[in-house]
Amino acid sequence: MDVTTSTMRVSVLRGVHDLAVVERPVPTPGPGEVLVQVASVGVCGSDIHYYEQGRIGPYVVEQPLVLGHEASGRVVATGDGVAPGRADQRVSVEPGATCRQCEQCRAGRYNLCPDVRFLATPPVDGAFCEYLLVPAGDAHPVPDAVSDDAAALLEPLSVAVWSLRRSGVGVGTRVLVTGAGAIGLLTAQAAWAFGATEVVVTDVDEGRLAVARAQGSRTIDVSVTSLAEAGVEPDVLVECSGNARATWEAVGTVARAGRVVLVGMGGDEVRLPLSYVQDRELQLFGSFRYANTWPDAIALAASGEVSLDELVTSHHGLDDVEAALTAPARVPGTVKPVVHPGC
Amino acid sequence: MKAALISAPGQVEVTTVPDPTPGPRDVVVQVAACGICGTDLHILQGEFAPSLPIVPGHEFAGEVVALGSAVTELQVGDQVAVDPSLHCHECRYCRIGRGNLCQSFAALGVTVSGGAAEFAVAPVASCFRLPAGVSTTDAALVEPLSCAVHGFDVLGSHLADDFLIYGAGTMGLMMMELAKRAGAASVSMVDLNPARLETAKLLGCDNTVTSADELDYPYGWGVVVDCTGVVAAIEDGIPRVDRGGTFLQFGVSAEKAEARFSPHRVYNHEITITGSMAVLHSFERAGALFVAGALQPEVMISDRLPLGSYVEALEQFRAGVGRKIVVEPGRG
Repeated sequence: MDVTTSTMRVSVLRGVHDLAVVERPVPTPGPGEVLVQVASVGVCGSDIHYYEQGRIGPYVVEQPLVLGHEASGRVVATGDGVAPGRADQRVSVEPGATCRQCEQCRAGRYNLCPDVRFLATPPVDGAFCEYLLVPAGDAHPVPDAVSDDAAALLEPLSVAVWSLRRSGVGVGTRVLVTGAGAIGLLTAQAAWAFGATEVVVTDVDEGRLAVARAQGSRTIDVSVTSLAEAGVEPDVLVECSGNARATWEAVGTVARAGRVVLVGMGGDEVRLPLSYVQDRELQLFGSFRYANTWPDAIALAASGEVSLDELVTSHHGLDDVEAALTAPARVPGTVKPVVHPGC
Repeated sequence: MKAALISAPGQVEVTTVPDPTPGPRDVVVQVAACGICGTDLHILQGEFAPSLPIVPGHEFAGEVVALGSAVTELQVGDQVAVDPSLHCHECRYCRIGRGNLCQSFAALGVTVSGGAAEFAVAPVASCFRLPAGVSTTDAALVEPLSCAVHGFDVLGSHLADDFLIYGAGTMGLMMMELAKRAGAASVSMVDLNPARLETAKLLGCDNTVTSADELDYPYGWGVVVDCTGVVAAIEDGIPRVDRGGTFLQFGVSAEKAEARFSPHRVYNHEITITGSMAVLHSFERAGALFVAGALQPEVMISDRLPLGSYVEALEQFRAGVGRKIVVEPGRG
């Protein structure tokens, strides 16, 4: 089949709670681009946010938007100037096409590019479609040991890897992860792989905490036991809950000269125990998306040090995207619904 | 247009080639000056460049005279220094953020036409815009300076360290200037050429000697940098690194060169031996340092020749006479 002359099925968000499957032309790869036949797309909280509220902060859905930015698939066509041998490669898609010329890109911090075109962020369409154009360098080849679903989840794993790099987690580090959503659970797994000697995960959802325990982490249900009572003293806190109270309490447990990295997205203003931060010379970092993380994420997944497939809790076809987006609210224990646009 | 052309190993001439045309995201730069570097000699020997002929020159700056169809960031008349690196963005090293180690190494003046010409094409993303009042003929120094800045990235911060630098050529002098800016307690330079040491002294180098034995640093040096690529200098320098200190291989040795060091001492004194290769995320900072006056171009550039003298310029560089030699297509 010559995919470049046919049409494809696309799930579009037309407004709040308004999804439709439409036919669109299959795009043609331009110079430096590859066309990926999409296999798996993980559902992220941001997709749900757009579906439920039509916006995230300044990003407003003003025209039909294709959701989904955690994608994997297979290269079916390549544009001019793409390295030979890319056709037929199974790939994981890095969803942010950066400009490569702004101050941040040129300094090697492309995750901070103000001109990034990020999938499923208005007005850029995402991956709930059969075929997706991707800059060749953002389509990362994956080995057979990494499944299509796992290849899609390399995106949230990259968020975890970046936060651990930012906060200097390594051999012998004691790590506290607050929030056992997909990012928190991936961060806990990756922290073990980075050489942590202790990983503690907190949440208020017993089902999620059970997943963390199965991964080997110690868990604390902070609706039952406070962190202070639990006697935790981490070298690094990776805050993945976005919850103001959880953040406050967790920062106050960090060991002297420890580090705090803020990953979870919560309110704009969070109280911090600043005299504690000063007395103990804590360092606080923001962590936004990731840069240059895919090779590490692929290696962690391929070696089995991080298990991605077990986080997938449901599978959905393109006609079933609504069920995927509402699964976390409807189905207890949901961690990661995955959409398969070819089904 | 007039351009230097290396047509086969050992064959270089200044000749007429077609004017370049920009791609959609390229600009055409009218070259004000282009520096000569050891890489150019390697290309002339048939190394580095995957195919010949090639217009050499990877250290250049000038004025934008034409824009590709999709360029909005620069305007005709802008003055720019050009980062010659062309990373593939697809290989393993580009994917981990180490584009200077790209497996599909490509660069202006090495794998595609460079700046030893009246005009050169450059991707708009590779252009560092120079503010008004900065000389574009001097700004050919930004590229070698960006290599030196990357060298300091590799070193990390060494506030109040004593530096020992081998080789007082252009790169050694730039590393010396940056060491002073980066808070070195002292900078000492070793060179066998007394004329080069005079320049180092003129630029404020604390100690200039023909042998490090003449210096009295009982603990050695926290940072030793080789800017010669010469094995004898490297083997002289590594044992002079202080406990816990760092040896930086900055100079380009012959590909098959081998140097000896004491692994026991590296273990016992926790010596770091590391290397620095070309430019990585350092071009804009080098541009800013250059604009801020980090270098004295009238000292750093020893010879400014017309483009028509490119062959003679290469010969002079090979003979080791002078410091940075540039050709200026607008001259004579």
